Amino acid sequence: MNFFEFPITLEYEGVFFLKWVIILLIFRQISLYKLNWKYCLGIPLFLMFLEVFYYDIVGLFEILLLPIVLTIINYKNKLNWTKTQFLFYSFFPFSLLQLFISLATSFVLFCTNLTVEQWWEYKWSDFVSLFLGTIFYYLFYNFVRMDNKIIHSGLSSFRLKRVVSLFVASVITSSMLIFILDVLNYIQGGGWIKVSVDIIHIRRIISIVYFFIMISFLFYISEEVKKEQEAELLSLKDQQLNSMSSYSKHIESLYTQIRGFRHDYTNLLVSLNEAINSNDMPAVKNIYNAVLADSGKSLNSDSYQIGNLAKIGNPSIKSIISAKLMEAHQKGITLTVEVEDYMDSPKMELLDFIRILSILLDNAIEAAESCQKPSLVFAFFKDKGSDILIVENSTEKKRVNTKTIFQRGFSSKGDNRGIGLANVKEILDKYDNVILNTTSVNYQFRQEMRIE
Amino acid sequence: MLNIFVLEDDFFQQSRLEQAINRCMKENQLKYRQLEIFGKPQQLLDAIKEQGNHQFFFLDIEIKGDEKKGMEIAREIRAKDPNAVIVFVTTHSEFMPVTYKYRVAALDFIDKGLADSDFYDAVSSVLVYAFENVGTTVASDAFVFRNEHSHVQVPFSDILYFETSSTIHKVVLTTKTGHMEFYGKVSDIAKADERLYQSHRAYVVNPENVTKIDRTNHIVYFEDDESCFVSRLKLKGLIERVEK
Repeated sequence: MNFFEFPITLEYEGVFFLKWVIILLIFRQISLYKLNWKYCLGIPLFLMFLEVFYYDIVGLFEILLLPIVLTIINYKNKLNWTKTQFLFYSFFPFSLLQLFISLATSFVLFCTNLTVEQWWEYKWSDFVSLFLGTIFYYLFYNFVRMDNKIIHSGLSSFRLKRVVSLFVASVITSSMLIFILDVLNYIQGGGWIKVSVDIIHIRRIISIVYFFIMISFLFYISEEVKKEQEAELLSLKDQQLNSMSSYSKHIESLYTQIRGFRHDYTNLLVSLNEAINSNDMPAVKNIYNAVLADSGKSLNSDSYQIGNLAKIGNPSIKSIISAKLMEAHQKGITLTVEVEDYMDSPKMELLDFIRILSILLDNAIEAAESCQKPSLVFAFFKDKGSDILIVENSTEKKRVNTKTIFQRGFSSKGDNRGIGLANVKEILDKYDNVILNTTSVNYQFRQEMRIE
Repeated sequence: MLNIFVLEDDFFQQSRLEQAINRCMKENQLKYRQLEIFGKPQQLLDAIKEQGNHQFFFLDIEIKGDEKKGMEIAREIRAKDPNAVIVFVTTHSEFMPVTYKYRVAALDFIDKGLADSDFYDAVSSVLVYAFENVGTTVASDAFVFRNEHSHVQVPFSDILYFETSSTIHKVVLTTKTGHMEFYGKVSDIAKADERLYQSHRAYVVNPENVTKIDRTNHIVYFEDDESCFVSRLKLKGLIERVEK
């Protein structure tokens, strides 16, 4: 058979191809999964050829195509999604577009006053519906300003688990209902059974009703997530205020100390002057050794290390670091703080950076505490255009396995304490420009984060 | 034999350091080939003729009011010579051991404010350390991998293996001391350095650090019980590379 004799037509296969490209693009947009452009065109092309050969089967089971495609991708690339996420992403893009296409069809029928059958006789009807449906989707997307990140975090939010499951269940149920109606319609079309109700009409009603259910779910979830984030921000701000005030208290106490020194120095200089005038070298040596030689040491003591944070520009970052470091200082941990350059917030979302900072510092304090000679190093500086953050602590064991500590639920100290580093990994998964290097050698555990 | 270079703009500190160095040579019966003291950074840079871990630098950080001049010089030295030994001699308030170790792999910091005997001990200990290490050229060859998002640089001898991460588009590198995760592809890493060997679709290993190969279960072992997989097709090639 000649290739060109295949019934490939623009109004059927062309529309099918285009529809799947759009579905994959919606998937890409919603799931934040960076599906390769080659796949975005290749998969629809493959599906189209499949459709040419097995028109009926592909047409009927179209709803299952995306789940199958995603299962294959998942097998190849480990998508790292929860079951809920997987179900959502495999059904939502298709049913979303399907809904908008139905809406577009209803809209056209309403405007032109045609019946469905009349409309379907028009050769380009599918194309027009798809085109209008896509425009509706685009408008809808921009109108509600659906934030993909919010949906994404809503899906993995623990508090919203029930609502999200309900939402996903509703997506699947409606998809399945429409699928069953399509099958019924197909069987009826074949003349095997007779149904007394107008299936196409019911299908359209379901689409419209479900559209509103979907919108309410989306709004509810995004509102809840936003509320949650705002609450977190608020508590963070409170925390920041508290630690800022204790930071300034700390600096004030250091200043008082320095003022004491200044007073002592003045007295000493007076007596030194006396000794020099009377050419009494032993007395000069005596005075110098007794007091001045030691004062340098106390000025370099640990409590002054926290003062090195002065070069951190962002107040939120400064306050969280100072709070943690003061806590460490109070627990008797030897501190080294290095901030050489003026540091502003790095190329990450501020909230993410602060979360990571507090987890790393909490872990370091907790681990150092149990050592005989507890020590903690904090360094934040620039190197070749990147921001480098180093948090290093002494450890009880000579070497810690750096991989297991990142697993969820793992903690070297009992239950419910090991979620920290797993969260760090989850946050960093979003960033291509951050490298976290974790090393443990010779009783020193070190986290080195490089932000390009 | 060391070539010792000193960068210090204060005359008093210059002679103090010079005395400490000479005393150390005498007491430990060591000899340097060359000791040069500079007040101006450019003169020091111009005087460098050789490379290697027998090149020893004592640098002050603040030179003629320029707060970070010493740091810049250290960077220039390091860019030309990955093995040179760099020690900063400075006041305590300028100590940034972690930062400078990261940037230029500085060996140590010595506090100018130390009492003479402590100052001598500090100078002496870094010099003796450098003398002991001259000639033992450790394979400090770096593995460098660069793409649009990440820039990874680690000593090649530390690398055990790379694997695809559970996070899409990321790679996990396991080293002798820990691990790191960055943006990239395992196949690109195999291409980046021919000393590496791709043993599996998801793994690239450093043959130098393989300790054992389990031929029946297709597992490659490294020190500290670290292990990864080798595919049936790549097994023979890996054995050849390891035995080489």
